[in-house]
Amino acid sequence: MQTQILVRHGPDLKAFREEILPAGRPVVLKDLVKDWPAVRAGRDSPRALADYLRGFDRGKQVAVLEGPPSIRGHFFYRDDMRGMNFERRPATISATIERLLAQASDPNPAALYIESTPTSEHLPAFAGENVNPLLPPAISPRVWIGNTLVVQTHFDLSSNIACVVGGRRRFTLFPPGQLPNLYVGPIEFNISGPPISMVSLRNPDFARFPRFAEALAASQVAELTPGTRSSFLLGGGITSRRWSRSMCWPTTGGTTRARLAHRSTACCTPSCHCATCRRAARGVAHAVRTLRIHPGDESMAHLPREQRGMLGPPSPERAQAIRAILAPRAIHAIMGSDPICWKTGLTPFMARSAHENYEGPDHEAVSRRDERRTDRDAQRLWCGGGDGSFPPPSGGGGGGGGLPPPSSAPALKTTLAAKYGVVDFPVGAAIEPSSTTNSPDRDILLKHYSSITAENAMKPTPSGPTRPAPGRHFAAATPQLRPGDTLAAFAFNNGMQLRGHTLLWHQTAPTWFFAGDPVNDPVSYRINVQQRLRDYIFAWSSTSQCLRLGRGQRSGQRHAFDANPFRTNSVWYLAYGVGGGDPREYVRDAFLFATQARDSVGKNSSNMKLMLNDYNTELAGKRDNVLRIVQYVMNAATAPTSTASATSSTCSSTPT
Amino acid sequence: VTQITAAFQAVENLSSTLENHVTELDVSIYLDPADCFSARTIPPCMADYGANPPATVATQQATLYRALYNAFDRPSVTSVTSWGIADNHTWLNTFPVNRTNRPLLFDTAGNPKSAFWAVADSSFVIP
Repeated sequence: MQTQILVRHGPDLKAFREEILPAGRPVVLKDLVKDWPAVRAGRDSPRALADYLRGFDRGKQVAVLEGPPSIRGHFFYRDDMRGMNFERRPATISATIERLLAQASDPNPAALYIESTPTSEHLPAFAGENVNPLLPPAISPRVWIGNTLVVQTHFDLSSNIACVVGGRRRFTLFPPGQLPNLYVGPIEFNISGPPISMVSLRNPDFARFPRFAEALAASQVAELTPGTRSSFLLGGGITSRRWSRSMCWPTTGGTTRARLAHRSTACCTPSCHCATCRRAARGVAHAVRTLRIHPGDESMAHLPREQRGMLGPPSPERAQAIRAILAPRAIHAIMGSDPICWKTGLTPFMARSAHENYEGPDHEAVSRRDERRTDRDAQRLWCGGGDGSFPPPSGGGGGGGGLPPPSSAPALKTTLAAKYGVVDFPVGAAIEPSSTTNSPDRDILLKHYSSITAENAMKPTPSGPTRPAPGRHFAAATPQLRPGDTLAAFAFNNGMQLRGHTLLWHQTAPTWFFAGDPVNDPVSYRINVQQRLRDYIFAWSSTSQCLRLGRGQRSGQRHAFDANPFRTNSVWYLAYGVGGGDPREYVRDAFLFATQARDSVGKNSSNMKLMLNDYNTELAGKRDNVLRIVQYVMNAATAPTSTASATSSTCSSTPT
Repeated sequence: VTQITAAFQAVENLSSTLENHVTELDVSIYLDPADCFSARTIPPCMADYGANPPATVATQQATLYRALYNAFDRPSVTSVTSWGIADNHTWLNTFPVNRTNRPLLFDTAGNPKSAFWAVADSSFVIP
């Protein structure tokens, strides 16, 4: 069942940055804020804490959510899902605190809370007296104040350090992999921005939401008292080498459940800054995509049809809903105060995460540069330039006759993301390394594309020219920057995804792979080839976000299809068949070894996908053969390491 | 487009865990017969248009591109990659035969073509 969130006592800044942050897992940081004046006041009495907070109040109004006593602190949709069971009204912090105190002895109080509010605007001197030693001063705390209630499971868009100043608070956190088991509610219509789970934590309806039991079993909980703080850091991309073999926690699953025994409680979280936004926003994007894997109707069956919005099946209404989400105003609402992060921050982290395990010679320089980025730097770096803007509200352009002026062209990546309703939908181009510097290629790439593929630079022959030294995998052995590294660095520096292309392709296998004597010693020959396949794939795993297993097999003739779906003249096929072996196993091994390699760098199918890449899948005969191979790989993937292997098929359309 | 949609569906039918990635997209300006790809000569491959292909080519290409990107609007399709950036560099200049081709969304100078506008702007009227 649920496990307790790991407790750490007083980590210093170094440990926080080097251990806790990269780990990307929930952790309770015990007693770190016990000396805050606010915590001391809270320990005295609720009244003392109330007076302390009121001393900072500028009297500006905030959003206060209030529900009748009958909801028992459970802020949610109304039963018909056409509205909420509470109201949102403006009020000052001081007046609301007084109401909370006045209700303190009421056994059946109204449910009341002040939404997470930036102290910089409303309690400006608070941060000066209550300093968070782990965060730079630029990150200003937010305050949350309420009485006994349950906050519905939701996606938190920032990485949080939640500090309990008064009262008690219980957090239930779910790993991102559990997302499909949380029964996500409408994206566009929710309590305060992030979509929420439709399952009540207090009384889960397992008959209606059976998969939630699995989510609950995987969740972690912590009950916090004043002065304890829980850091639940979101962001699947921050898996580091240190945690390479452990499950990567975060990304999307921040959920909180608050039960406040005392009358008033404050909880501070750092406001969303660009890096965390990136991670979190990407998490939500990932969530949406995860859900989209299932046919809309089926996976959203827990929502009334008219409430599925962008999670529902394609329709004009859905397209409209998606556009509304992508419109800057809606983004502002979703992202709180920082639409810039949303706009630019989705894919960069993926590239970074690919780069973190990347052995290229300039890795250190890039890391250092990344660390130096403060919030504002990050915004400038990631968001700089006039690019990434949203398309003008009405399209049109020139209309009849010629084309609109080139300068009016919207960014393709942005328009396609809006069209498909996936915020970080990868729009890619296959390129040669020279395109990263040459005009106009570079400009087009930066403006229109969010993903790159090496047209040739990552194919076996050009990148693996020599045998590795004994015991070495050769990808990391060459000191100078190689063409593939150029692409990886470009993707990283410009916030793009990188597709590795390709691990295995019969046309470009290095000949020394197959040197040996298949006639006299078929068994060791086959083992040698197998070993090289393993080495080769291990060597490659470090650079790519999406590894594609290339066209290892395909029918020899464009329109002629063999009964055997495998390409029988592939050097791999032939080598594996020597000595009576099953020649098909090279495909299975390729996926197996690639999966092992992926595991060894701490990645999984959510952040590094393995692909079977083939062409002419629009032709029925060819398609059937490809699907048979996909089925073969899926059936063969029985080793424990490959259970999560995302065997994906690709379609590529060449002319005609 | 119908066939490609069928391919997406076939993968979806195999397992809901599979994704479709469009990985090597380009649209040749030539409509070659099937035997062009085995013969790899002109004929059966269509003759070279040279540096100035007829205007109808751009129209057909833009129409097909628009239909393709509309077909990609399905949940299982999770990425689209063009095999190249602009018409200044494309493998189709040498495959299946040496011949001028213009298969991408940007022209040789890097400016958006009709095909680009057809994809990026649904209200664009293809000339």
